[in-house]
Amino acid sequence: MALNADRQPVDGADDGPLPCGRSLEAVWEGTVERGRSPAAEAAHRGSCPHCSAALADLRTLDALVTAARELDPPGGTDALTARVMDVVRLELRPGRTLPLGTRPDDTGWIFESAAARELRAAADGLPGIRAGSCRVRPLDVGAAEVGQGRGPLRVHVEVAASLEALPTAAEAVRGALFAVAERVLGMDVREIDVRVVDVLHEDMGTDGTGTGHGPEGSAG
Amino acid sequence: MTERIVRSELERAAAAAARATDGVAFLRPGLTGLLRAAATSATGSRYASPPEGVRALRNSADGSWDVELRLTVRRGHRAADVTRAVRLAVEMATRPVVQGEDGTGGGQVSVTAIVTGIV
Repeated sequence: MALNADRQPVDGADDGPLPCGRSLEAVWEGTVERGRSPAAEAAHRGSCPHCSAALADLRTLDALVTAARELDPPGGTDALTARVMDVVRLELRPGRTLPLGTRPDDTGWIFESAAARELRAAADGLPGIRAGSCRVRPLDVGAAEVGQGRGPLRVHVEVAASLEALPTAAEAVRGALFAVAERVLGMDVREIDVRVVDVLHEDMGTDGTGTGHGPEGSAG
Repeated sequence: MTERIVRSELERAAAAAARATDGVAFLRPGLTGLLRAAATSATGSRYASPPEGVRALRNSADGSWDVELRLTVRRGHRAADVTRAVRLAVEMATRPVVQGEDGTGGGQVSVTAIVTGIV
């Protein structure tokens, strides 16, 4: 990853494509990149040594995770698998970075996806709340250009709330997320914009019948 | 010392200092790379390992160096505090490397730590 003139990391592909031009992520997930036809991709992957090697790696990786399950870790094997794949997915899709630390000589950054993961988890931990998408942006887009991109931030989060949690949802989510931004991350979050986009029925999932069938569980 | 040797030594010193910093879980290639490397050695696959989690780049304009690290933070440690500690540790570890290179004492290293996740 390169640094631009202001020493802010520039978004880019993580490890670069395979020698044949395909992305490792697309091969592993069996998806077809934009602009390619599924039929042509299937034909390519069947004959390409790079894609075949990558798929073989994935099968071995799968076997390693299966073997790791036998170690019976605390939290259960499903939790371990989920955490492993969570980290793998995060590392394959870095995305934009956010400044860490507020001192003048601080130079740390965190990927938005990593920060959003912590923020969403904090909302999910609240009773009657399920986190949806979470985005972190500069508080003042204009000023961000001047301050080398290390200025204060605003969080946009969407949640589903149960009827019981609804009256205090925004306040509870705001409180939880401010705490995470300060104690877990050390990020200068000044405003948190909470939108309740769906009603949560604890026993039935979200209300798909009426208003506000908003996005939920996005990568954030 | 040639630039290539200085770069290699900077990256080695920076990686060692970062790994030793409290709160650092691992550097890139991180978990994905470890699994990939394990899978590679297990299958004998020729897929190349991803680069180390440290990169040193020389600014041709003034001869200073930029060192960039990508790391995961261990849960229970404040991410901003970890990146600050890494910066200080890497600055200290790399100072002797660049001072040895330039007789005029002009070697300067700017350190940037990027958190890729909290584990």
